[in-house]
Amino acid sequence: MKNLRLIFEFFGRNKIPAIIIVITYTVVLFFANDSFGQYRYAAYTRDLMKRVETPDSLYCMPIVSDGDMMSSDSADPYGDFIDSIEEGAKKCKAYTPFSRTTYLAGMFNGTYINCDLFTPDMVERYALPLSGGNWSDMNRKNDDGCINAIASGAFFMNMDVGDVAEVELNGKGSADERTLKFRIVGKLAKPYAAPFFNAAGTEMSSRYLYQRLDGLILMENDELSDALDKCGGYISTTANFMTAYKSGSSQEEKDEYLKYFEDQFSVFTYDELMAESNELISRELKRRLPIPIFLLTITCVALLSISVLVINKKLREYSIYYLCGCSRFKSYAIISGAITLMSLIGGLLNIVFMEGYYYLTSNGFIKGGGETIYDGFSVLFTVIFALVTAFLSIAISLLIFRKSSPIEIYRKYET
Amino acid sequence: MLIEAEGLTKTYKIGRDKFVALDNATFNIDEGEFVAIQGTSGAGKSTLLHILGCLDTADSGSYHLGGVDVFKLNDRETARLRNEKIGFVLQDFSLINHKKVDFNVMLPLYFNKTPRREMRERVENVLDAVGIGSQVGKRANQLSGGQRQRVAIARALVNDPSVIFADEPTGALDSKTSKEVMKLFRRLNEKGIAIVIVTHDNAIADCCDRKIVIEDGKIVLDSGRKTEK
Ligand SMILES: Nc1ncnc2c1ncn2[C@@H]1O[C@H](COP(=O)(O)OP(=O)(O)O)[C@@H](O)[C@H]1O
Ligand SMILES: [Mg+2]
Repeated sequence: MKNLRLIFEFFGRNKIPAIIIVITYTVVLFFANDSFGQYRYAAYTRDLMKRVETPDSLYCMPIVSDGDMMSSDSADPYGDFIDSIEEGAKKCKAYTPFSRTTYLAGMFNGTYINCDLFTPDMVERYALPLSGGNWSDMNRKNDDGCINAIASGAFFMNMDVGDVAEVELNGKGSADERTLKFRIVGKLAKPYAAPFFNAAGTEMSSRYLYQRLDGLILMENDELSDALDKCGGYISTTANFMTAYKSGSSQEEKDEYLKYFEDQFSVFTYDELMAESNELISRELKRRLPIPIFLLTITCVALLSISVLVINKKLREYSIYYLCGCSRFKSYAIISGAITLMSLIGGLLNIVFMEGYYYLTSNGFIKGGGETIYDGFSVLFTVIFALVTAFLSIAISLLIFRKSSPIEIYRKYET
Repeated sequence: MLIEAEGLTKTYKIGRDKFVALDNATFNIDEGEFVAIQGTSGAGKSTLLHILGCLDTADSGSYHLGGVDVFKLNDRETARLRNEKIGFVLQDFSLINHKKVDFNVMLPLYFNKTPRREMRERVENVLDAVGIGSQVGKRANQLSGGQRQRVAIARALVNDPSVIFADEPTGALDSKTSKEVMKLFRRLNEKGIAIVIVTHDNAIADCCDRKIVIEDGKIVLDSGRKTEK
């Protein structure tokens, strides 16, 4: 306790500059983590796409307008539309099953979540990175009436693999009929990115094709269909979908398949998606990295300067400590402690924020597009930055501190 | 024997030249003595006092304080010795000016294991003992020179030292205040604390029981204890 008081004394008469430094430090580190996170998200989804798609993949966007769809009296107009397209596609030799984003909403623990429905084919293909559990367990039989699910996002933070989540789905049925039990067989890893085929912008990069999912991934099988029928769930499908040439198709078969889509859709080939994603990454690299790195350097120098400034101002005070029985080593420790404290506060605030980020954004407490990554690596970076800046500042400060002995200071103040 | 100094020598390098600030100083001081170290400016008094106060080391010679071979101690052990056995009063009062009186006096207690709840009580006691109990709440720079020197003396006392080293303690005070401070030292000495005062001022030295005169780093006169005469 006494030592803590002595550490705080370091900031006596230097509180304002110290506070300003800590705030700057925190904000800059926050900005850097956010920028790096966005860059990393772009890179992460590109790599994800590389893994889950094949060079034969095709991304299709209908040219029909939303208005046409809205006027349809179907509950899931895009779903029906894509169904009819898929029927037609089956006639082509290069046909492979479509992957689309089909989902329904539900309530879990009083919060709104999305449940993505994956076809068995998608479960196999989009075996997204998990932080726990196994995709293959989606096929496991449950005797207790639970439906297997992969959990994603902060709402399931406190649930483990094997736990059961009760979700009240949106639908026509009574509350009882709509409340289903899901067994968590796996948890998606940060940043919780799952395929989301709704990108309608001009930019067709992986960043938009894989978006954060706060909810569950379910597998479309008979068991689920029965359950959904019973609860009358409101299922929707997004406008776009992904397909691919069947492997081993000849060029003519591929051309035929592509032609089938091009008549009614804008089609992006895998190569186009990849090119766009890579371009985004290099753009992000240029845009997101230089300024934070510059600011981090400045902050490091700022912490160093304030430390040196305070030390110079405090030389007499520490010579008085020495007089009163403070060893030189102890004054080094006090100085190191105080400098570490400044970087520690900044680092800790950032880590707390990053740990809470998914929870806060999922709940809408703060706005966040979700196109960023805060994971163990971000925490590690923050810790390392805090340690390195503290170490540099301490090293330089102690070098300066050592240069003048208490004796010299006493002589200086003699009249 | 409280202080046993033998052949203390200190040289400073100035460029290529060597300057002998303290030359083979040998003397003893007993417990409870009241000693003046007198000499002109630049004679080496402060240099000697810094060594006696375990703030600095000599180049050669040996020094025992209360039987402890000081030059054999490390940084932490010397600090502890300063904390427990020694009180300092310097010419510039050496207070932390922007801090309150009580923090200044309490400072030595931050460097030992005194329990927190005891600290305040000890501070009040020593402040009363030096007669400025009413000033606790003031900042050091709100006090007069005499009051500041009393605060410094209170701080020197707070750990019950066996000796107080004072370097020109009256150097920045007027003669009336100087006399009061010397009276205070006398009172403390009567309670058994050894006092070693460095001064260039004959009048101050005359207030002490023993004079050690130093010139160009050499001890040229040691009057011995008055009481023994
Ligand atoms: N760090 C130093 N470098 C060179 N000379 C010094 C240093 N410290 C003290 N001196 C010299 O040593 C001599 C004795 O100094 P000091 O002990 O302060 O004298 P006093 O206290 O008797 O006035 C002086 O001549 C002073 O200039
Ligand atoms: Mg001097």
